[in-house]
Amino acid sequence: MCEFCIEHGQGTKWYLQTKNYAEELLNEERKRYITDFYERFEEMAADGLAAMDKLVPADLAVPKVGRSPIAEGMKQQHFGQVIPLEDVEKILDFTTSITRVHCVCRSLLHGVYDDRYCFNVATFKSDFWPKGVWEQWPDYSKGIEILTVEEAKKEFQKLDRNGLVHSVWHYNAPFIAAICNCAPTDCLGFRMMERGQRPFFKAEYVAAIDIEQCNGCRDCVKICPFGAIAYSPASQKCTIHQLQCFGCGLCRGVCALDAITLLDRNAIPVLAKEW
Amino acid sequence: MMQIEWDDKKCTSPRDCRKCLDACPEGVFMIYPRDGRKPGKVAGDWAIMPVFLTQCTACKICEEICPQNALTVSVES
Ligand code: SF4
Ligand code: SF4
Ligand code: SF4
Ligand code: SF4
Ligand code: SF4
Repeated sequence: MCEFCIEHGQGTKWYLQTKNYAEELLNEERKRYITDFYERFEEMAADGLAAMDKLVPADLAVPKVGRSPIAEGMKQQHFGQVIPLEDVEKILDFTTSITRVHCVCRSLLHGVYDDRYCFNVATFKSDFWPKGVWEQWPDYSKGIEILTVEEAKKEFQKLDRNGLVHSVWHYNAPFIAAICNCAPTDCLGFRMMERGQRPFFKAEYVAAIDIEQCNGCRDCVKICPFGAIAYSPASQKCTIHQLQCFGCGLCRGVCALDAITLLDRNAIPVLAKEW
Repeated sequence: MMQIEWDDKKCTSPRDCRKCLDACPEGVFMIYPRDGRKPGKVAGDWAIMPVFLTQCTACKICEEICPQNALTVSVES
């Protein structure tokens, strides 16, 4: 279990607990935090990156979760976890409002304002979240879409095939309100890893290839955003480096021979400590 | 660390161009509304800022691709 499952999930997956999506959590303090987060996103990102530059290079050699005061502090403010498609679907099943919105990381890193990779989810109706927040800024609110559960599931399936990593995010622990779809070059959370910081946990899973099934086509290698899959010309098969795998499940989705399965990270002694 | 100068007189519409953002192999740049984001208003006056400067290799791909010659990369001695 990642530390959020222990702290906010009573030892089960914290992001499958409806209490972490409850309207009661959306108090005045959180509302202020969320408004500020989007209003001052660029400023906070630039300040954060500048602060990371001041850290000692030796401390940054291996990107580890919570390695520095910055990533550690984000565990309280804005932190996430990678989740595979089936867990996204479980969350969508208990939410009552799904809003597809513009992605603030892509606007900052690529200047695009129509890439709607973020899904705001809620288990309640509210004028504040997400509608009220986004409507304050016309740049952001253009083109936001309200989706049904079925529509959202279809969109997530497409995103999965296109190599987008799904992750849940909280806004002041443990209030979860967004499921993101990220790629290494486009997401600030990923980009922080280049500076030895990581503001999200790996998934509760890890992928493994059944070499009896694998024909060495390498489709899985192409889609893995974490560079965790290697092809061996000697065996003409692929294997997944377990310490590098984030458990996103994207490789499984593209394997035509169904040779890839997700295992429970917690059942593998060394990986159970690898977040 | 490298230094990158961005000339706002030459780069007049970064939101439409975006070439440096997409071309830099190290993803050094970000784009942001210089006067912040005001409720009810479309943000104007966009600026390019090199933020991942520690990762800049001084390859000058950005300098070469910039149609306005607005970027100058220099290697700090
Ligand atoms: S976390 Fe991912 S989807 Fe969310 S805003 Fe950043 S890049 Fe976009
Ligand atoms: S996609 Fe499947 S069959 Fe192809 S190399 Fe990967 S595991 Fe093997
Ligand atoms: S090997 Fe791991 S990290 Fe790579 S795509 Fe598969 S599940 Fe994701
Ligand atoms: S010199 Fe190269 S690495 Fe540096 S900002 Fe320009 S394109 Fe990026
Ligand atoms: S490439 Fe040049 S003109 Fe285009 S956005 Fe970048 S700095 Fe501005």
